[in-house]
Amino acid sequence: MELTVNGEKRTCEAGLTLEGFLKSQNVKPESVVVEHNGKIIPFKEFGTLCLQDGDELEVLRFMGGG
Amino acid sequence: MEDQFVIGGKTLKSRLFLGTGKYGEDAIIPDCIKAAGSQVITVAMRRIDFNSPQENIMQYIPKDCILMPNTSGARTAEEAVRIARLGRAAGCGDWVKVEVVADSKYLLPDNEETVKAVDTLVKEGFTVLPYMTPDLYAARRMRDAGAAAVMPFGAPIGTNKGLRTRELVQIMIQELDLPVIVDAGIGKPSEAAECMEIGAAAVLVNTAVATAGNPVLMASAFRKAVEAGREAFLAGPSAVKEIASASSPLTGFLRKD
Amino acid sequence: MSYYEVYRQYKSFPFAEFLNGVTPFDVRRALQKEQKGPLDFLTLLSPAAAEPALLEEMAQKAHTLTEHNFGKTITLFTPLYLANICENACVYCGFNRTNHIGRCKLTLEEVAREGRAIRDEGIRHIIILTGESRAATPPSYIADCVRVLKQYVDSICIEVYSLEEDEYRMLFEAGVDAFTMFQETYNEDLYPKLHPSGPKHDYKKRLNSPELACRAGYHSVNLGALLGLDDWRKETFLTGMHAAYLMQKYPGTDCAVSLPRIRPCVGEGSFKPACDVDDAAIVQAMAAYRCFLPRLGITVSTRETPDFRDHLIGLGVTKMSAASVTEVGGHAGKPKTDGQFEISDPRNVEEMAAAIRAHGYQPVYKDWEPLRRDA
Repeated sequence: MELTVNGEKRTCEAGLTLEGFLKSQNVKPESVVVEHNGKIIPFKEFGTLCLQDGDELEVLRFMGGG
Repeated sequence: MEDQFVIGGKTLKSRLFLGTGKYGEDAIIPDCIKAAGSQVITVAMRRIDFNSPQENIMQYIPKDCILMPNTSGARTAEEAVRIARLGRAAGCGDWVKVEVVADSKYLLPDNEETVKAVDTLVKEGFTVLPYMTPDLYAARRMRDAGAAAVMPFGAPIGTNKGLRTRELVQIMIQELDLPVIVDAGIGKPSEAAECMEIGAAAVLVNTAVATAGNPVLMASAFRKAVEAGREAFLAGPSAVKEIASASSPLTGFLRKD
Repeated sequence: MSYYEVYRQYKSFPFAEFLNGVTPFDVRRALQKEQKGPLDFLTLLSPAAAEPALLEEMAQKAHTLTEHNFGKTITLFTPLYLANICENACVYCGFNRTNHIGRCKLTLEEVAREGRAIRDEGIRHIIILTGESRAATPPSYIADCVRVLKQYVDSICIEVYSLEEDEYRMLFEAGVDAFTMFQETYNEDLYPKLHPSGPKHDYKKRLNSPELACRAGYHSVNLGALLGLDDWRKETFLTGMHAAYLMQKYPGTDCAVSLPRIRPCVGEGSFKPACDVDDAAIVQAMAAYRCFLPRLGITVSTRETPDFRDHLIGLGVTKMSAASVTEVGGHAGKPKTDGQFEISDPRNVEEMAAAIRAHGYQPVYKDWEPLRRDA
């Protein structure tokens, strides 16, 4: 299936949960915050949210800033 | 008498807020925070880089600090609100530095959009500290919207030019019944001391420490300067002798009989 | 939050102890500060600051601040008494209801005659006064007078009894743009003794009236304490704090103070002031006001003598009355009554303007023009 992640198209295997997707990208799920189709997903739902073809994800985390 | 500094219900010991951007090496941040004695630490919110997915600023910030995510990158009130919500969802408390900048040449904050963002975020229970162009009217609107403090810049961000907005900031300090924190533009410890001497509640410093030859030593210098300036403010300045005025006496008539 | 809460904070403040503890060093330091706080202001009102060399230093500072903020100008105005019918028994006032004086109020024709006479004198800013009687001079009467007077003058200030906020609004709509009310004394315990009966007996209502005028959108609000009723240093301090409170809360309203001293007035047991307020006291209070609040308007009435008034030009005063009469109907012809108090400066407008020019200042007859809604 195809996802739009942080503005870029990515292809990945079908049936992944959000947590599964993040782990597949070497991202620790507890270190990020995710907007799924414009809606903020609470951390406890990462494991149960199944991604669908065409979904849009914004994956963010804290960076240095002033 | 104890010199209390309370923001959003939290009593703070340190009046030096520290940013975490622009360090040559993030690993030096913990030592800088320690040397600065800072309790309030700002961070930004960014899309992660899938090419280096492990990199995480949070490992460098002591757990007992108050994290203040900024909304940098926001060009409108709506975007600032969205970023603030994401920051809170990351589970680091409800402080937020609202920053709305639509001008990429000078990076000057847009007060009008900022007021709107403050209004929305206060209603959602955030402790909101807006970064702003020093302007009394806008500051009053932010206060009325429920801002916990206002943060005017001393000079355009990253310029290290010092307290160029002194007159305007001083008026804000005089007129507003909430903390005024000078954010941005402070390049040297002496300038931080100047802010504190005129009654600023705190200063937020980032570039000046992050890009110093020795960031840890500079952080320590800023801590001392902020403390010295605060003490000078509390002590009240001594008189400077003015040169005698040459104009004719105004009160002589009281004694003419 | 009202000014009463601010007053409560200072009610039990050890004024005497603080004032007597001030040293010349403290005065110089307070004078030097760019932003002066309440205690700096009180320091400038201390006996130590009355020492001639220090008072001169403070006067010079006040002079410079006044010129920077207001230029070399003095705005002229004149009082117009509409009525002297009064239900109060203020022990120091000539309108005291127990005084056997002629009582009357002007008809609208007489008001028009006064308005014409004032305009012929050259004055464009007036202050209209009544005694306190809702029965004889209700807000609707005051509004009627204002509508008549608008044809002759450009700015109308009211100095009447305490009204409700909607009444202030109604008068504002009728054409009033400024408000004057003296608290007389800020001393909450002394106040009821000096105002033993009548509606004015209510200390808090009077204290709150200037704020109501600010809320109603008045362009300027003038405060004052009648100096001599209580320690003038304390009264001046509390008046200045009242002004500072309003200026912070209502930045759109110009704030001013007057420094009236008790003058002799008619009445049976004539009133004896509690403390002597000499010329030096007025100079010190005025200079202290100016140093504390550089943008504060300062008004001086014809209660003061010509010589003294002339010396105050340049010290801090921004507004002076001229051609004053305190009798009802006194501008157009023979007064209908006795006056509220004796005036000391009988100069007419031309003489007053000449005196102001002689000091290198410009007399201003009109400094604003309201945009009329119906225009």
